[in-house]
Amino acid sequence: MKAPMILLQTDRISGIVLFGTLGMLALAIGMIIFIIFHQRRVIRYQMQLQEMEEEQQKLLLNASIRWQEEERQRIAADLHDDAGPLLATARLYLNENLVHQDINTQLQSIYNAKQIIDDTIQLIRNISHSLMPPTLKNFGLESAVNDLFQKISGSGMVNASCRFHDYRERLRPEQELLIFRVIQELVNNILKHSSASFIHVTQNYDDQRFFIRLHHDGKGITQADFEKLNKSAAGLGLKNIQSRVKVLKARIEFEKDISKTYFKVTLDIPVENIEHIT
Amino acid sequence: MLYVVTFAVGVYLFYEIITTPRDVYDPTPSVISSLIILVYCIIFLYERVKDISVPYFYFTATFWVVVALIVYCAGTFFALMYAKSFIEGKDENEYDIIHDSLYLFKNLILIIACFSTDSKNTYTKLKDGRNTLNKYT
Repeated sequence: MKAPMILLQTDRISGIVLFGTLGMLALAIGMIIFIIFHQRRVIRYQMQLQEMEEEQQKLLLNASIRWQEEERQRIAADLHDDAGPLLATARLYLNENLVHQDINTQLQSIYNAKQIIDDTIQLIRNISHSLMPPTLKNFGLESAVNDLFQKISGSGMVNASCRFHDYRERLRPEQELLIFRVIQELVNNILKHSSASFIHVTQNYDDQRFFIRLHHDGKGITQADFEKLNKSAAGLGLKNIQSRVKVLKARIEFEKDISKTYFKVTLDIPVENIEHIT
Repeated sequence: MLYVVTFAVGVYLFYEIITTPRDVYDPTPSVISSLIILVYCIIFLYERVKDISVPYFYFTATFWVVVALIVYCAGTFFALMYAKSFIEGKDENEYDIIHDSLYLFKNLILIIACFSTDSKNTYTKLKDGRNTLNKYT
């Protein structure tokens, strides 16, 4: 009687051990397979992200190249269409026949040629200033932005004002130029597309960040629109803003004010990326 | 916390080794050590899976060593638990089959671990070309 009982118990234990072992092995192998598949999924996701990032970089680079080409074309057109004819006209006044003319005609020709050369100098100065504003170079970002806004206000179409609350120390010229170009592009866009009646820029600086905020009451864009336009082939100016913001290691945010009346754009630069003139 | 558990288990196992008579098989220490190793392995895998800075973790030697430990400890868990019954029932054959086959399997996985490549190299290779990527995915 005892022997069959022991046999029965042994069988039962054998069953438990067999099923237990198989169960544990299935669990262990299942877990390992899950980990492998999970990792592959994560890696695929990371690769996709990387590809998207590369695509975005390519778009920004293309935009930057296009912008440079357009700028070159603009300068070439300015020189060819404006400076070229002016100098050609001056040359006409100062031709070799001038020596055979009477003194009054000679004086008149020289006066006219002088006027034209003055105009040409002014034109070339304007081209040079559009490339690198002298106010920015000599007096800094605050003065350059003030200058720009005075010119805009002077047109009488838009009320443009700016206030730099905490700009005691100038930033490095490269950073100032980048920030200025971002503001210039934003203002350009507002003037072109938003039909705003006022533009106001403020600058602040706290322990953690340096930020510039631009308000306007026209038709603006939100962050979602900005990102959408950035990913599309259109929106060259916005892509330039994005690439400059990237160089600054900053963040730009387009949003509608809580009051829903204004649009605001905030350029936020972490303090650790800010470099002052030493 | 893990150090405290490890220390407590270590003390217990040491106490068991000292106090258990030589001719008696007590499965408790084996079962506890298996459980502890399993839990540690799972925690380790979880932590490594969370850390996405190490891509293709499953190509690393560490991963395969941990897999070998998990498979061996999980597979022999019930066999160790009922080892006493096997000995008493004179049915050691079944225990040997389970234990020896898993021991062999564990060693095979450890051989894989010896031949596994470095994770970072693999990732660099993958980044270098799509052809390599297709090979692995």
